[in-house]
Amino acid sequence: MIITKIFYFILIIISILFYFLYIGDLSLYLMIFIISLPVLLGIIILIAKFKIKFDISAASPTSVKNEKCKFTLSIKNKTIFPFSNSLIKIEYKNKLSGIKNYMDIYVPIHPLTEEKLNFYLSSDYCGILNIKIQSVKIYDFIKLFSCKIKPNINTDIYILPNIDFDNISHISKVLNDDNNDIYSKIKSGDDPSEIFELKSYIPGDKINRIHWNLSFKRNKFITKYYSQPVNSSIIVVLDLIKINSIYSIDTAIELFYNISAQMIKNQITFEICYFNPQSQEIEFINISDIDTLIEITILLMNNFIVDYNYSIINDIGKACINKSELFFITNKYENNYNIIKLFDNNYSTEKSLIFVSDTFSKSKFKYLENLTIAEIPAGKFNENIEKILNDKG
Amino acid sequence: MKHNTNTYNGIRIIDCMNLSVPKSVKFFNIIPLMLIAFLGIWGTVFSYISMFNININTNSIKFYSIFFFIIFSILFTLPKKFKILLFPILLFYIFLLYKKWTYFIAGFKIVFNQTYTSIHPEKKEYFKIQTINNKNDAELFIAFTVFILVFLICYITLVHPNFFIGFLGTFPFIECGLYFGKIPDMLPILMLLIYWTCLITIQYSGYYQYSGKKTSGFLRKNNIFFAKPEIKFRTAGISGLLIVIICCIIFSFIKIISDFSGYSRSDKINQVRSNIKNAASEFSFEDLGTSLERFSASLGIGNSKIYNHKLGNLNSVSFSETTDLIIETNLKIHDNVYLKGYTGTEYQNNKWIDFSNSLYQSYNDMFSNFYKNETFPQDMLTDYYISKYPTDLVDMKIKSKYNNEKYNYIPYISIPNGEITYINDTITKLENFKEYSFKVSTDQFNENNFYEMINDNNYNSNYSFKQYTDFVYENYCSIPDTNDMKYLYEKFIVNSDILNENIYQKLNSIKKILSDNAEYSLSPGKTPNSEDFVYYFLTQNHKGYCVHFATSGVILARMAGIPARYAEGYVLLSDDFNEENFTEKNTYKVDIKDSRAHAWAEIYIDNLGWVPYEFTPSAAAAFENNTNTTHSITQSTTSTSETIITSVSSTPSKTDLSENTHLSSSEEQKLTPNETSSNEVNNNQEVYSAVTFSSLVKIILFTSVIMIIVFILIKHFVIVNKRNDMLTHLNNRKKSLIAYDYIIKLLEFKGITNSNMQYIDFALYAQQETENIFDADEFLSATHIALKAKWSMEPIEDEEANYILELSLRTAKKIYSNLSIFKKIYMKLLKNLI
Repeated sequence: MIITKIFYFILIIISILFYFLYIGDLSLYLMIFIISLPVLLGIIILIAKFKIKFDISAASPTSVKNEKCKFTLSIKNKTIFPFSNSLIKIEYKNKLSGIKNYMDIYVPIHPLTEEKLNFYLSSDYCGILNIKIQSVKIYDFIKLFSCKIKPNINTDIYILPNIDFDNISHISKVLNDDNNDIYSKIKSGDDPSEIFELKSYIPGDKINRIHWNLSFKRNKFITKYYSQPVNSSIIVVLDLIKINSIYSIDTAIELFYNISAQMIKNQITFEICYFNPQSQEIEFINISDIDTLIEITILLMNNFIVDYNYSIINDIGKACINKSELFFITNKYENNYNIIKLFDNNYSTEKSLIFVSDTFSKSKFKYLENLTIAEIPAGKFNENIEKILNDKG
Repeated sequence: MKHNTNTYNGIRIIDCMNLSVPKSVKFFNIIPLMLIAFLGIWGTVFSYISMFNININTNSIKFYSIFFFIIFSILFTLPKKFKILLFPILLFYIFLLYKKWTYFIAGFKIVFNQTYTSIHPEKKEYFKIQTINNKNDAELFIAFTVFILVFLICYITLVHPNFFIGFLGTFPFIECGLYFGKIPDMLPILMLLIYWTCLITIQYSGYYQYSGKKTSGFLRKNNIFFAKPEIKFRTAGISGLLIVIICCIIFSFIKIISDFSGYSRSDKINQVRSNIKNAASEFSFEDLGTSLERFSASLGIGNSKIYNHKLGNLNSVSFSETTDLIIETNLKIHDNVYLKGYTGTEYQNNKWIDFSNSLYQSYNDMFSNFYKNETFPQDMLTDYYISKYPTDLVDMKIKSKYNNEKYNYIPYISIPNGEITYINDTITKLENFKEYSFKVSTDQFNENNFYEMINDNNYNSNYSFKQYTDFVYENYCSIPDTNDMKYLYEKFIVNSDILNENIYQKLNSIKKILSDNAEYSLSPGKTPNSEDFVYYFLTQNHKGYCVHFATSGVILARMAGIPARYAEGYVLLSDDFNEENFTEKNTYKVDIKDSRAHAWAEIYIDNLGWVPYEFTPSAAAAFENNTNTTHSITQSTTSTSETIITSVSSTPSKTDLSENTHLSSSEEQKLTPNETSSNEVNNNQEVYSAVTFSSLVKIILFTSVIMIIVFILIKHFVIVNKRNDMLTHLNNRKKSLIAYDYIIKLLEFKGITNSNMQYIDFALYAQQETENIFDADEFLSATHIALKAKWSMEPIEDEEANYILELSLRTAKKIYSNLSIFKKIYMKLLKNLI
């Protein structure tokens, strides 16, 4: 561009010299033309700066890891001027890692049209995929001038873990609380206080399960199936810290999401505990379906990027009373005292500390021998998820 | 340590990008490009025809242009498979050319002749032609040429837009006319201008007919996506069309404004043009300083005078009528006043120079007496005149406009005010050169008092002046001892009675010799380097202006035994003291223009001093008295009524080139002739020769080359110094990383690049590819050190840093030593790698 400007400046000098040396009218026309052309081009560029609008949108607000996410960049040119070589600089990043990358697209902008540029991204990690039109540079017809437009428009897609919900395995250990009034809707049990369902007698059913009254009325044997009370006093906590490596954050989210999905699939209702930066308190939400889990995961990811200096561990301790189980998933190593304080108490709650780390360092836990600790290296949660859930108790 | 410009953040861009725009018909998109191609064709062909007034049937040329244009434009816009039709067309063209070859050549000759005679009207023709059907042959030739031109223009506009090829293909048609000052019709030349502008636009749009698979979409390089050329088809066409519209608006606007305002080229611009032309034609590398000064003066840069006493190095002289001096007096002066600035004492190698210091030193006693008695040769004449003739003295102030003025212009018969310094017997130096004053006699020289003076035997001057007279006769009668001078002496002095005459008669005879052997001209041409100035003037060229006459007069006077010397300065005319110049302060304020610069001779009259004498003839052939002349003075100094100055106009005429004032040799030139007539323009086209452009081109090329070389050297020096500085003064970690980067650059220079390999893999690959550069695992070790420097928290030891540093320097040397000389220069100066 600078070279073009230098050449054009030299051309102006030559045209002025030509005007002095050449007697015909051509020299006047040429000189005025060469001097006035940049002025007109500059005006065109200025008009374009205010008349070309940009927008970016995502096809869907959520996606899963390693799946194509479609983005549409819309360029609306209200002027009659085309721009053959505009440069659109797009910044994309995972908000959880903060590492920005850039993409440059040289695209022509047609006049009096709205054109759409579709492109696709995929993410290897969970998080919030943020796409921003950082700047758009438009050149005039002879690339003498350019103008930079900064639309400052961005859009987000939430990247969730990729779980095949149909293939989630059954959790062998049922985490029960006899005082619970919530019963499984899909599975029968042994709690006579609640009838799960009534069916015709099948040879082999227990005699004491026959519903005699109904049997007389129906003139056939009807068997009562009792309900299975489900455990709702499980807390799952996701407590993440911003560190350079996206691996541990991604693994922790995967763990959290998987554990939660497995429990939902197995009709185990549980609570998620998280810190709400707006209210500055920890909050609990019951999770019983995937949609809520997705919402909570998105909420947790959003909260993660809020920079707060709050130790969730202190309040968790109080919340653990009367809970049967605690899954504490974290990627940060608190100091010994806080960990012990949380986990080394008289509560009957079964506590599991699931620590996601980039590098394994056994020495960190030498003072925490009274806890069930699972240390999961980043990226390797699949092998351990079953172990976490099924080796309990 | 650079691996990628972006650190990987887990997000991948899928190789699938598409642009959707509203549908448009391709045919309508091609029309702007076709229009642009047509502009180029029409503009080129008819610019040429109109410039040289080619005598042909233009309707048939129009037909051929349109016909070929339709064929090629359609052919080039059809899909690729139809382009095969080009071959039969071209074959047919070649076949037809072969068949009509004789007529083609005849047509070429006819067109060439017409072009040639248009440029050189005085000449008849270049080729002798004897054909019957001249016009048809010319049309045939042009038709064949138009065919090729249309093919070229259509291809580089519709298929693969390229401005440089388009410009190179069309500009020569125009340049050959512009070079000789031919003026084409406005419409075709403007069409051509529009075409060139559109071609740049289309080229910059990035469009070309993609010869690969017909796919739209984007090309990817790392994280950069480029829209494929075919996507830009529509924008290219519309951009071109908009440029056409913009150009038409601008040109129409210029036309309206110029017609409305009655614009015509101002004389000042023509003067500048002439200045530049003259300065360029006088340009010589031997006299580079003066040439550049002359150039800058012609462009109006700076306010400097050019001092050069070299004789005969100008083709012509002209005036820009700028004010050189401003003179203010309180009374009228009755006669012309010669204001002397420079005195030339010795004629040597076509130049007037001063006597050497050693000569003056040998007369030291005499000059010491002058200082002792406070009487100087410079004042001899004034002392005599004032003592002899009763005269009034007027106050005269002189102001010079030049910043680099180095002379005081001293009138004869005057008494300077202020502090005076006398240098030898030639220079009277006042306090400053810019502003000074005198008391000047109102009576200056005329014919009567000159005759009286040379016959005055009764005046007894100072004794020391008697000594001075001896000095004068010993030194101011000498001429160079050359064959040319001997010839002149034989021809004009020996073979005449001049030596038997008295001084008065001798001077008249010399005047006659000069007027018989030369005529006055402001455009005498340069004296060839091998020729003596006076000899060439009197025996070969026979043309010159005041410098020629004054110099020749001095030489002939010396040959005749009359001490004489050369003087330069300005002339103030008695007619300048008029009402127009009379100010409110009751003074006369006269602007002395550059056209008043003059050269004359000084004759020594015994015991009286140096007297100005005019050898320049009055009725020179080149002079034409202007009817608008307001100041016309003739004043004779001899009984034959020769004039000092014939007619002088202080305002230049519009039709008369030749000013009657006399210009000194080559100095004090603010040059612009008053040539506004079209005849003058045509004549000047011959002066506007290849010399002008080639000198300009030489200067520009030479300067550009020097600047480029200097830039490269400076850049090399800065980069290498910076790198060495970083490699020696930074900490080990940074040192290691910089050294590693340096090695990577060296490997890239060798053609080994890292295309997305891991560092260790690349190290192994590079070692394998460059067996003669790295020993064993040198580069692998260096890579480990660099990785450690980049990622590890552990410190880098001095040994490690030095190892990688030494490896980088050793690698550079090894690569450098195996290169050819040109590659070495490339590596060193352009890539700055060593």
